[in-house]
Amino acid sequence: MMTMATIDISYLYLGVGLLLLLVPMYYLWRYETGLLKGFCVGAVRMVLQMLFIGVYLRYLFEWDNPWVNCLWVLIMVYIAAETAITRTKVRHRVLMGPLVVGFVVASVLVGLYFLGIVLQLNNIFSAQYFIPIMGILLGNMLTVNVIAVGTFYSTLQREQNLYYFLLGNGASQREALIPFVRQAIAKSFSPTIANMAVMGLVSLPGTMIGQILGGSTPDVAIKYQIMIVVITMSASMLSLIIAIRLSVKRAFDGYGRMKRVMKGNG
Amino acid sequence: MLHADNITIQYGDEHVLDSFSCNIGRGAFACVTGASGCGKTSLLKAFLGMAPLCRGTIRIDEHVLDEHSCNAIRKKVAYLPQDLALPYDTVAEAAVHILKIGNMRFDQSARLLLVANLQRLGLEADLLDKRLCEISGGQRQRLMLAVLALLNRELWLLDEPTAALDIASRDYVIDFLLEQQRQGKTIVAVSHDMWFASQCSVIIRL
Repeated sequence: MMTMATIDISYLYLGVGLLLLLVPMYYLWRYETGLLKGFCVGAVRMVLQMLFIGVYLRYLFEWDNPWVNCLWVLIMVYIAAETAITRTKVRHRVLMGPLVVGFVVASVLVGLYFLGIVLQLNNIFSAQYFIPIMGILLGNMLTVNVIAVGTFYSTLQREQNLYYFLLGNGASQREALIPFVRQAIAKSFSPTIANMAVMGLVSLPGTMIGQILGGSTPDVAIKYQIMIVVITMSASMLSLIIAIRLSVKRAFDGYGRMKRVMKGNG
Repeated sequence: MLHADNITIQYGDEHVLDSFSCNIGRGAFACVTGASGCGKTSLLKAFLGMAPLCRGTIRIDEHVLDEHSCNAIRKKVAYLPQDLALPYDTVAEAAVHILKIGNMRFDQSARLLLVANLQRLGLEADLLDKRLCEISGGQRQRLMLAVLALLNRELWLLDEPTAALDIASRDYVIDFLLEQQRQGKTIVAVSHDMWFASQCSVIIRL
C-alpha cells in the first residue's frame, strides 16, 4: 500500500501558479478575441468560488448530515439548471423545470446506483462520497445539456422546414423530432467519446490524478476513474433525454407548432 | 375534399391572410398564385394546422381541422415545403427515412417504383446511389416528388414545386403531377409560374 502525503500549496505559491493565466490572457488580448473580459471574470469567479467551497465543504464534512448534504446537492442542481439556461439562450419557462427534473432523476438513479450498489456504502449520503460524486455528475450533466439542448433548439429554429416537412407528411411529433435529437446527442457526446477513447493514453483524468495525489494506489484510482466515466456518461445521457422530452411539451402547441422558445426574437 | 371557410391567418399582430374561403374538389389540380408575401405558403401550412388561424374553419374530407384531427389529416397528405434541407447522407437513406413516415420499407419493390418515378421526372436511376450533397437543387426537388408519390397520399400540398427548375425539368414535373391527378390525387400547389398555373384545373389568386 502506497502512502504518500499530499504537498500543500501555500496561498503565496497558489498566487505564483495563477500567473500562468497571463499566457491565455495575453493571446486573448493580442488577437482581439473579445473574450478577455469574460476570461478574467471567469477566472476570478473560479478562484473565489473554489475558496468559498473549500470553507463550505469543510463544514459539510464535519457535520456529515444527510439532510444538509441533500440540500447542498439540490442547490447545486438549481445553479446548474440556471447556468444551462443562461448558456443555451432557451426561455426559462421552457427549460427550467425539465432541466431540474433531468438533473435530479439522473443523479439520484445513477449516483445512488454507484454509491449503494457498486461501492456498497453503508451510508450513501456520507459527505465524503455523496458530495463529490454528485458534483462530478452535475458538472458533466451541465456541460452535456448545454451543448445538447442548445443544439436541439437552435437547429430546430434554423431548420424548421425539415420538422414541418416530417410533421406535415404524417410523422408523429416524436418521429419528426428524431433528426434533431440525433444531432443534439451526436454533438454533445462526440467530445466525450473521443476523450474516452484516448483516456490513459493521451489524457490522465482529474479524478484519477486527484486520488493518486491524495494517497490512493494507482489501481484503486483507476477503478474509480473507470466508474466515474461510466456514471457521468449514463447520467448525462439520461438527463439530456429527460430534459429534451419534458421541454418539448412546453415548446410546442397542440398542433405541433413551435412556440417562441429562444430568448430575444426566437 | 378541401374547404376553407372564412379563415384568417395571424402571426402575432400581423394578419397574413384575411377572411379567405375556398373549395377544392376531389381530383382537382389547384394552383395558388399571388404576389410575394400575400400568404400563399401560410395558406398551405394552414391546411395542415401549421399556421395559426384566428378565425374560420378548415375541413378536409370528414375532418374539421383541430388539435385532435390534425394528425389524421396529415396522414392523408404528401407535403413538400420550399427550400428543404435533408439531414441524410445519401439519396437512398433519405428515401428510407421518408418512407418510414408512411410505415413503408424501402425494399426492392419500393426501389423499382421509385426508379420508375425518377425516370418519369427526367432523372436517371443512378441518382439513388448518389450522396445528397452531390445532386442539384432541381434534382432534389424532383427526387422529393418521386419519393412522396410512393406514400400514395390522397392530397398533395406543394410549395413552389417548379421553382429553380429549367423548362424541360418543369415540364417533367407538370406531366408527373397531371399523371397523379389522373390517378385521383388532389393537388394544391403554390406557384409564381404562370405556365404552371395555366396547366392546373383551378387557379386561386390571393
